[in-house]
Amino acid sequence: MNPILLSRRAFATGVLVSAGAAYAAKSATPTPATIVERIQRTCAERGVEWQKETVDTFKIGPVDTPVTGVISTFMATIAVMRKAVALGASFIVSHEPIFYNHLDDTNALQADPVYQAKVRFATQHGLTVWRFHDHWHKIKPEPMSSASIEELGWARYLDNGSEGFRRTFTRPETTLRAVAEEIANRYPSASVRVIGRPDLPVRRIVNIGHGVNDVVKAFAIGDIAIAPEVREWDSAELTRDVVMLHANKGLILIAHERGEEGGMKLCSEWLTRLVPEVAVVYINSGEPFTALSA
Amino acid sequence: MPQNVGFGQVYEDIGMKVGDVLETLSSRLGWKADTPLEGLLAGSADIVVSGISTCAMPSVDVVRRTIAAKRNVILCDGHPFYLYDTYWSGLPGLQETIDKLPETAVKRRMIEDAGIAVIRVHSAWQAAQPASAAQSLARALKMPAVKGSAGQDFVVCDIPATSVAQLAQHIQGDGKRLIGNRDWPVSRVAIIPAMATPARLGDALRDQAVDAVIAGEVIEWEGGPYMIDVQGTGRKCALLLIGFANSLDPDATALAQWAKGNFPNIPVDVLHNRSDFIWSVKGPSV
Repeated sequence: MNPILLSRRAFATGVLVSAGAAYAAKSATPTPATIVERIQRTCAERGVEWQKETVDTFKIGPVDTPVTGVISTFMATIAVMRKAVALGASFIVSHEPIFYNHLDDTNALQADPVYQAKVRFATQHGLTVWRFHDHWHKIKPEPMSSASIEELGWARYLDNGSEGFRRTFTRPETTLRAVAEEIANRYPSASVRVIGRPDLPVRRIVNIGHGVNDVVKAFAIGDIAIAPEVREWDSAELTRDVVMLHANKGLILIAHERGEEGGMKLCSEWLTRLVPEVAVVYINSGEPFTALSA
Repeated sequence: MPQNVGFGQVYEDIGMKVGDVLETLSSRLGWKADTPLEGLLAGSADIVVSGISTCAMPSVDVVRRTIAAKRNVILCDGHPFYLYDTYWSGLPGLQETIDKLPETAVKRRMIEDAGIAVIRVHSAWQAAQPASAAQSLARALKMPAVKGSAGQDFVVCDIPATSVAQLAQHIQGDGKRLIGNRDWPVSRVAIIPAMATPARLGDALRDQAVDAVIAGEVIEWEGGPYMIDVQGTGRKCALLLIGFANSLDPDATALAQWAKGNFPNIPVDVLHNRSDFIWSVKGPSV
């Protein structure tokens, strides 16, 4: 097995089996606060020290009441909250923010009816939401890309030594369109977008983050970059120009959610062993977009 | 022969310089020289203006067409070297990283060799004419704007009853995306060009009759989930994303009209970018 790519099963079972056994011996139902303490302790055991400044904090709800069930999801939208309530779960671990900005700053939202409806729903149903973003990305092997590679079936293409969120792949030559269609079929995704010549030959692929700096670095070493969300005003414009100048490069844009949803399924398996006292369920928050042709 | 262009300013027919353009932008549009990432981003104030191109994004294609048309000033919303936004462009060393890309050097050299000045007017234009981009996009989509108030940066349009899918077919470009259901009915559309933030979406959706929004782009942890939660409350209001650049492109015409009014003796062209540079593929769930 590629040491940088741990399989889903190995990831979930190998890492936390001892912790799970220890926690199972405890009879008291855990609270959100105690579950987060377990996560923090386990992260520390994995070499991930808890940061003082982090978005991995409680966003809403009581932290000291017994948990009836745990949900792992990419994003705790109102729809996900409804499903959590239907499943009888009271604690949601959400990878992304719930109040529409990275810091979940709600000052500007106090009069917003959507924000108010979300708070009202969560409060009425006793939901607690905690974000697991910064430290989850720091776990090795990086869970989001590990899950994504498994979903795509690209482990065999992974370059030796390629680790972290941004990974590189080398594969038999294909085309930009073929790679885009493969991604759309494997995730699956209804909103894969592409900049570049459809017949562009592709051998080396680079997974990137959200910044235009990543696009530049990817173009320096690969034929194409795959981005789970970039800003169009920089990355798309840069790629438009690169293609216009006849460089053999391309950019595949996938929904942020598609690129990371699998990682939160992996997280549910991780949490199942960490919180054996209650059910842990993964809820697919769903691809937000559908592509529409002219 | 000197021409009086109003407000006491006098330009030579031949001999107006980029510095004069900047002075006019300052006095009549409120452009401030210290605006980060804006203003004169390529070329010098001493360049004698042969003609002006306006565009949303100063792409390589726009630069080439400007050269072909023998113009040498580009007025634009976007940044020629991809530093659009102060927050997103704040990463230390980003400009240096972008400059390492060979194609950036080619574009820079193309601009320099042709003696072109690129002047970015994003903030000043937006502040002076907040609804201009929305009105321009509404006009391009042949949707008459029915509502608007001072300072508002979106417009609302009533259209004959249709569906989201049919509305989408009315809009050019292959890279469009939808949040919502393609079968939902639509009769009142809010138009929010460029980035649809939660605040802008919230403002537009105060009108409960709005059942679709046409915007450029969303950040997928900001405007995207905001719209998903709008729908989560039970409101059947779709968000149609047509692309950041595509949504701003029609406003190049309004900028050209402003330029023609303020530089009456200088040729002014509108250069629209192609709308199909992003294409999409469909997965099995479509």
